Amino acid sequence: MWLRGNMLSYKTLLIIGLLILFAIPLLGSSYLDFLFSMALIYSIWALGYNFLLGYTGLLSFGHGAYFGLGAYTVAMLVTKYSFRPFLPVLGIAVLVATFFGAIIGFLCARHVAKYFALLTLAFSQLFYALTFKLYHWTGGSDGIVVKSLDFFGVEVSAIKNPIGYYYLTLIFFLVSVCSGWRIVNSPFGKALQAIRDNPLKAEAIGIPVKRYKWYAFIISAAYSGLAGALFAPLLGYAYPDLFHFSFSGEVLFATLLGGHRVFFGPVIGAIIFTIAKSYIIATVKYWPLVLGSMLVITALFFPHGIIGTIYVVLKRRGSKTP
Amino acid sequence: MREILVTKGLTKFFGDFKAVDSVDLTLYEGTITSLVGPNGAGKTTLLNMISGVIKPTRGKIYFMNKDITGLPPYKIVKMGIARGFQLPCVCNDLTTLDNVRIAILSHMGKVRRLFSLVDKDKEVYERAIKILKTFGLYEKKDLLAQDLSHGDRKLLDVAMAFALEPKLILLDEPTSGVSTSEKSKIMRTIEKVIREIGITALIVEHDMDIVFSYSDRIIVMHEGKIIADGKPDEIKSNKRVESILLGVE
Repeated sequence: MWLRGNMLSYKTLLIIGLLILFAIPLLGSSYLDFLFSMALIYSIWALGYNFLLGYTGLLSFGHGAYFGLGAYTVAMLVTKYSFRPFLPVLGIAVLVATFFGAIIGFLCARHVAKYFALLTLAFSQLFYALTFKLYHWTGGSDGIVVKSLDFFGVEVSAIKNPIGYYYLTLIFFLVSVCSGWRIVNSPFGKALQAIRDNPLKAEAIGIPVKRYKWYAFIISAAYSGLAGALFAPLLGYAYPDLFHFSFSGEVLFATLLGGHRVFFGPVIGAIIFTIAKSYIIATVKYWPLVLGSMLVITALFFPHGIIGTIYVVLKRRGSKTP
Repeated sequence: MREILVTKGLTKFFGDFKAVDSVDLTLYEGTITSLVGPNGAGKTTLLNMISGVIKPTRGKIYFMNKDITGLPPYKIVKMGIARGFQLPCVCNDLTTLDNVRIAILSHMGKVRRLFSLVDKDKEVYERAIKILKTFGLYEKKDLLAQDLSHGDRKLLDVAMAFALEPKLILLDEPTSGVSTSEKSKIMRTIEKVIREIGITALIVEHDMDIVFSYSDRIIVMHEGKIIADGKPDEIKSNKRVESILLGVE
């Protein structure tokens, strides 16, 4: 990683970051609990998304689909079928997103570059259209209100107990970060990076490129599904726009903002994006213009993203390679 | 000597253009064979078909008596055929060490492991270091592949192929684009490793001095066909080969 040359600084930064995350509820603001819960959920989503973009070199415009599937599965189970145990509901939501990720990924991973990107977008829009068509299931444009869940006898509600929900989200965030770190530094993770850098060479050293792209897609969909499953109880609502490609664009934006070639880039990008979006929406009328400008500035002047740029600067100053 | 690779009537069309025309080729175990010929003779296309990068239009390829015609490259690699490319073909954003490590992991069947850390695998690390030392890349193990010189990138490409412990290695112009002084160094290194391990090699090369120095056998291709096949001395004295390769009438 980007500070391997200085492990003390790296560990110190991680500990400081962790302490800040654990201390957020101490500030006593329900709004901040909500905002940072949202930021952590976006971070899980961006981490999963980056298995494809940063580590396999595949650009998806349709990852809202798996986020939406996670959210809608929770909403349907809790509200329509009154199935409320938190962990099983979350598990089923992740399985549903992973299942559809496996089917769609199988079809998309056979294609490259723009064809891959367009296919992911098309499937996402298909789910978007289905949420309207299957309104008796999905609630159509009204979406589904998510009732509270049950966690070993304790009511899980981001509205009634924002601190409790924040810490639950934080646990899933930490599990996602740890598992994600292991995956990208595993032989499988290195194989994905080889595919990203040179698919011809990857195949020539015995890596079945299409199959591994598919695996990366499935893992990515699972993380996205988890993020969506945590999102629905937080907002208390699942709605069709989660499947819309503009929503998928948000995870791409967050990932690029932080830096897609650095492990913690998407995490930091997602946190900054969530906070920035929240404050910009509250203060500026034409908030999409401001967010769009942020993206243009990032793409033009900081193509490595925020963390990626810091890494590049440190590397130029003599730090070792990642 | 035992046959290791046999092609029968191997043909490849690109549209109406016949790039390789009914090639019957037999390679024998433990030999270094050079494949020479002018540009467009079909040498790289032949290598691409053997390594599975492209499928032949007609004909069969047998490796150790097994039909490998049309198999994808990753399956052919698993059977024991490795490949080096004409342009350095490495993973630019991985370190030199990781480039070799990923080849070893793939060869050892460990690449599917999802939660074990690459850095903790001492066996793979030690194997990678041994290969890097053999190819003179050890000092550059922590550099990204994109930061290596052209010659070192070529060596890394070949080192990755050797990391797969192949029975047959196909090398496409391993010295192209490198300086004359580096050419000899690269070929000496490659020949030493091939002879030490005792594997079979099919090398496409343009530099005839290098070809005559290191080859046990030379095959000459022209317009998709094999026009001469023999020991270096036989090829040297072949007037037709001379006229085709040197343009001498």
